[in-house]
Amino acid sequence: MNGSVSATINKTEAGSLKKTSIFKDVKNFFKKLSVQKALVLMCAPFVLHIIIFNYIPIWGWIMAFQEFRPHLGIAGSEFVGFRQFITLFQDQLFITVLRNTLAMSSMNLVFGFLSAITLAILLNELRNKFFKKLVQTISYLPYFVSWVVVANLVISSLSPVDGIINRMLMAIGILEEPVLFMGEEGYFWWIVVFSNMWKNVGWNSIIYLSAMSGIDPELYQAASIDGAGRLRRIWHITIPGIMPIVSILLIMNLGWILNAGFEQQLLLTNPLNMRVSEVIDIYVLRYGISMGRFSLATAAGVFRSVVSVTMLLSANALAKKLGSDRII
Amino acid sequence: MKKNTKVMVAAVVVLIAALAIWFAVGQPPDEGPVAEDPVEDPVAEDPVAEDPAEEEPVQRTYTMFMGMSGRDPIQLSETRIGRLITEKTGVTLDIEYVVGGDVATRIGTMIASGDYPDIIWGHEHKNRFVEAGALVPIQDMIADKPNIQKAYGDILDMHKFPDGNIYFLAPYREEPDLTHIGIGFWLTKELVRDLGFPEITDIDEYFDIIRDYVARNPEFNGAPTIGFTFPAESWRFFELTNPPNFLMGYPNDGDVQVSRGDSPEDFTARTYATSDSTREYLQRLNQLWNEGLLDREVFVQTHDQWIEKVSSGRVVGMTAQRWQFGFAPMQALEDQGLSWRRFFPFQLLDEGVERGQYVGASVPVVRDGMAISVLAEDPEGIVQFFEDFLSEEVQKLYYWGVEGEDYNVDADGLFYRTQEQRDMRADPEYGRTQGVDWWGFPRTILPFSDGNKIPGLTSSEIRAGYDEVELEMLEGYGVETFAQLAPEAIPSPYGFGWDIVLPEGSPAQLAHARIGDLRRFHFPRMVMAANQAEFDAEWTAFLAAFEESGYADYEAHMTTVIRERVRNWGLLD
Repeated sequence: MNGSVSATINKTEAGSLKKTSIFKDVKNFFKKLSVQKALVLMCAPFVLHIIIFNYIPIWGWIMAFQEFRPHLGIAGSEFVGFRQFITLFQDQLFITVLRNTLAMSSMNLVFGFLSAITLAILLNELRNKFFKKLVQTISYLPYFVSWVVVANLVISSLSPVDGIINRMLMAIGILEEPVLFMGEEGYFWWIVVFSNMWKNVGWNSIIYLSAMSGIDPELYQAASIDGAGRLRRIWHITIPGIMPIVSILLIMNLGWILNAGFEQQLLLTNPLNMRVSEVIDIYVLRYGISMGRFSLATAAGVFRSVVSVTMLLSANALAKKLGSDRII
Repeated sequence: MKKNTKVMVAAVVVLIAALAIWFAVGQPPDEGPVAEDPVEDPVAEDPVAEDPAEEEPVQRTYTMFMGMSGRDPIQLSETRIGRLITEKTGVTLDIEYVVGGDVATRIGTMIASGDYPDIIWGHEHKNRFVEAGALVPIQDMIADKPNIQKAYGDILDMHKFPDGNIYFLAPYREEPDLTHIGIGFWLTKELVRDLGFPEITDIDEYFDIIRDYVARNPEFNGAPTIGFTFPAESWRFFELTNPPNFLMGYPNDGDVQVSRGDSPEDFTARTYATSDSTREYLQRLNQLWNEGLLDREVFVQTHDQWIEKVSSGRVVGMTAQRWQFGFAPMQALEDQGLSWRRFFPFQLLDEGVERGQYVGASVPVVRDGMAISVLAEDPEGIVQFFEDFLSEEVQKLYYWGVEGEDYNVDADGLFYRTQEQRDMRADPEYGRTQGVDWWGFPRTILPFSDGNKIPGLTSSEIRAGYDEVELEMLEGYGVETFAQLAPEAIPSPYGFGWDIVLPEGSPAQLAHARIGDLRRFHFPRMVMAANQAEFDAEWTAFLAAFEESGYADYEAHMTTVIRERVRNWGLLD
């Protein structure tokens, strides 16, 4: 506390005392560190872990600028500059999978958020504790089921011969003939979005629910005294109350925009929908790693990291501008 | 202060715990084996083993990587015969399997890390290991080994890689499968019997039979009959692209057809994906689709769902290789009492084609085998293991089993099996707990010195393998074994084209991948086209895209390799 006050005082005296204020800032930093040393020690293993497994391997990015051959090693492989990236972007297939990835990611993002928040709001309004817990448990159980099982479920239920969806729609009268859902390109992204939603909505809503429980109940009371109905209370209290969490998660998820998932698409892809179902990960696997073109695979990874960091920082800056909570 | 101390202690404990976990988890795996099965016997402790050889075999353990997916993860030490082999040769194998995972990725990481076990079985990825310099040439080490020379002597040339080295001894020998025909257009046996055991070669006749049958029997056991189907999931897609090749009378050379001649230069490979035969075949399938006779889920189902359909007995006709459905589904049908709903193959041909080559000549398939890695500490010992394995005693153990338990000897000294013993062998559990004969060890097909042959070539065994349904079929056609129904295979001076491996990252490999993608995209749409205009549009689009695929690189590479094989293998006469 002392340190920051003196730093402020120093700053108001223009120019010549700038050096000492920086020195003071550094000193303050270390002082805070020592006061919180227990916490710092607890963080240390994980920070170390990230440095070793996530930062140090970055030097391997040099493979993306080479024509890497395993038996020559990195030192012996030929340096080719941006050739791998050019190959990547000239490949029509890569552009297609990029489009697919972005499309599925953004759709998942939008629907994932909407569905999780909606579910959280609805659950929050429930009074019956038992029913609330029951719904919560049922809703997040699918999260733990592996994609292999879910993909099989999806394919079976969409089957035109005896799948449940077709039978239901025909019984209601919406369809006259069964539709081969898995074979139509137009349906695929929606199938992905909805199966994703079904699988993740419960789990994602947990964090919003816990944020909502942190909202001061007095606000609700004050609002109802002022005559706000249930919907108004939700709109004016609950939603703004979870906005910080929403924006933080949104920023984080924007950073993952080029990761539309891998198992899900791999398991649901078939010759009829392959043009819209293959994502960057599948492309990298088939045309990069399985063919031994490690450099190409690395180049795709580098591209993805660069885009992720850019998206993250931009989203963060935007949030800052809008005055909303942010990560950095 | 006290509170601070407590927090400090807690923090330090967490730090230590985290580091401990990190070290434990981060240990590099032992070379090769990540044994899925906890029951392992790394070093054979058999000091009192019987030794058939002059001296006690040296007890040793080698690590091995099995690079073929879908293998039951069984260790040599887990099966009865495996343990006997260990006794006789002194060798225990610690085998790492890729269970349910992607073999290509695993091999990619193995090569990138340079972390090889002693023995490598690379399956179709053999070339990647050779290119990475991971394997040890063995031609010098085997030159003075009598058993190896006797069993492999005349086909050693076929094992040579372009660099002139031999890296492994292939386990796929030139033994023809006399029991069954492995491929064709299948029809349910019941229908074949009802039609009086006809000989069908015309594809239109075949489809008409199916049409007729489905019209009369739209349901089977309460579920709709499926007129025609085939496996199409991911890598099995060749079941759609291969038939036109067979219809034209060519053997299975992968995605090319090879014209032959008298000299190596006459051999040329050409793709057939754009041929008229392909288009006509797709046209026929399209017709079936629009008549509702083709399995509606054929392109979207998983292979498990396909197997389920086949096992239900509802399928009337299909095109597939026997190994796609030959075991579990057929067993399931038998168990349900639907043995007559099993299948019988026909080798259909296009008009004007005289002779089919569905069943290729039996040549050794030298695509893979047990190879020795550069990190093996005892390559000589491994070669000695192969040598010992090829000794008559171990070969008898390997093929026939233990006398008295797996087979008996009759008065003339010939081996035979009782029905009980055959049933025991037919049980899938047998391989897992008792047997050994599917592991890919080097083996001989020559008769033993006492006149006995390997079971696959012993006629009593072959006929004994047939059940009543099959015997009735054989009688109906007037033959002794099913193999007699297919024309004799034409020998091939270059083996099979489908086992030619494309070098990594080469234009040929890229072109082949692109061709594969194009077919996967366009062919299903052609089959499912609602009218002729759609079909033609799709075909035109396919042709145009095919031109851009660089197929010439693929054809050129295949031609080069085939010509080299013809030259080096010296089988052209």
